[in-house]
Amino acid sequence: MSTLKAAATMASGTATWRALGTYVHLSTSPAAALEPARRIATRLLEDVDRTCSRFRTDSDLVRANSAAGSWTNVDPLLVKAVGAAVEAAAQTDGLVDPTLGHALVAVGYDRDISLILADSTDPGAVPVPARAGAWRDIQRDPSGAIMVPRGSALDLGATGKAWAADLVVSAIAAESDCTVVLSLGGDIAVTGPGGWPVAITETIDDPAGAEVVHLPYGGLATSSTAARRWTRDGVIRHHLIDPRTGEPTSGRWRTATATGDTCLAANTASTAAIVLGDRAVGWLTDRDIPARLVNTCGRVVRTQRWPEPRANP
Amino acid sequence: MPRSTTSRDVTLNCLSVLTGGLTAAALVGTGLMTGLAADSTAHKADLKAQSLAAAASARTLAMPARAPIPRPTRTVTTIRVVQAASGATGGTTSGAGSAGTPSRALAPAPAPAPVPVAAPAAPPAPSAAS
Repeated sequence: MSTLKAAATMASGTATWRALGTYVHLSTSPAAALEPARRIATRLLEDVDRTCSRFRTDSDLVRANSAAGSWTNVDPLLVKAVGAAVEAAAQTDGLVDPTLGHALVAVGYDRDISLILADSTDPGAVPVPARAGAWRDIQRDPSGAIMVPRGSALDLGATGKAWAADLVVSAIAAESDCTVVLSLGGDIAVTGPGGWPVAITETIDDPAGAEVVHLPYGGLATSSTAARRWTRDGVIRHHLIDPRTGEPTSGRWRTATATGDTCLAANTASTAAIVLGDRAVGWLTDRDIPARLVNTCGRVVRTQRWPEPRANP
Repeated sequence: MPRSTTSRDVTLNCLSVLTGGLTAAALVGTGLMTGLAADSTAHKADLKAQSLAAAASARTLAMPARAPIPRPTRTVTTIRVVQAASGATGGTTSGAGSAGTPSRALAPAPAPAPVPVAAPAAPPAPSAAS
């Protein structure tokens, strides 16, 4: 029996809840591994929120941002999260930039997404493009300190959930031999024999027309301008910022899904694809990254290693 | 009335004596003034030296020698690559740090190719932006 079938035929368990301002979907096979896995996930996600949130006044990230230009003692967990964000920036030459904190506030993303008025009449603020290469000036001490570049503010929204998904499934795998899959707001990490099926849609509210694929290992992530949107002063805004302009992206693609050896790698690719716009397909192909892109008209484009959907029998 | 030669000689001699006297007086006066100025300068120099000495003494009393400030012992890392999953598994951390740690490139595994599924046996995990 193949490992794929072994995982699929074994009874699985699923738990869902909310954390980090988004949905959490955790499944294990066998089902008996679910509760221990859930306990690990809950604890780790709370730790990530406590250290990495931009919206909690007591988070380590907020303290470090308010002391930009000088060292701040923080939880080593935040140092690792920032390291992952810097890695993503390095791999995309700054397209996925962790220093967009001020830009996000300028476009109105200054609190948890659930608290942002969908249609605000507040005047639009002047866009704040990130200083080119500011992410290179982020200083880290793995024992527990970071220094945010002066004049910048970190936001880990582009990589934080994906990094946390990798963190959680790795921690669960260290405790159990089960197959586990975790989706944190669409950023999926899977580990264990057999992989797991994944249903891809643009938004969680639109499950109809989902394309289901089997992810054998690693990660898969979907980035979309169709979610986390709001209107400010009559202008539609969303959370995916082009660091070159400080404005929400307005390119060809509204949704991008990609895979990677980790969820972080997948999310880095999907976010970079949205920012790149017309150059996304070439960029993904050059890196041999399977990806599925949806343009602003709803047309789906797949790169060479992303399969065509199989019709239901 | 024309003056006699004798009278003119007397007048000239008087002028010579008078000029010499004035010159001598000027020389003496200049010497005295120079001496007084030198004394004043020396006095001022003494006062300045005393003042500086007093100030130095006061500063020494007011600011006792401080203990040397300990230098930071943290290793400042300028470029460091942390693999996302390494936090939980104790995996590899690589990078170039100020301590001269050599960097080591990590070759990432290839991105997995998804396989199309028509009827999944397990409930699929959702990948949708929220």
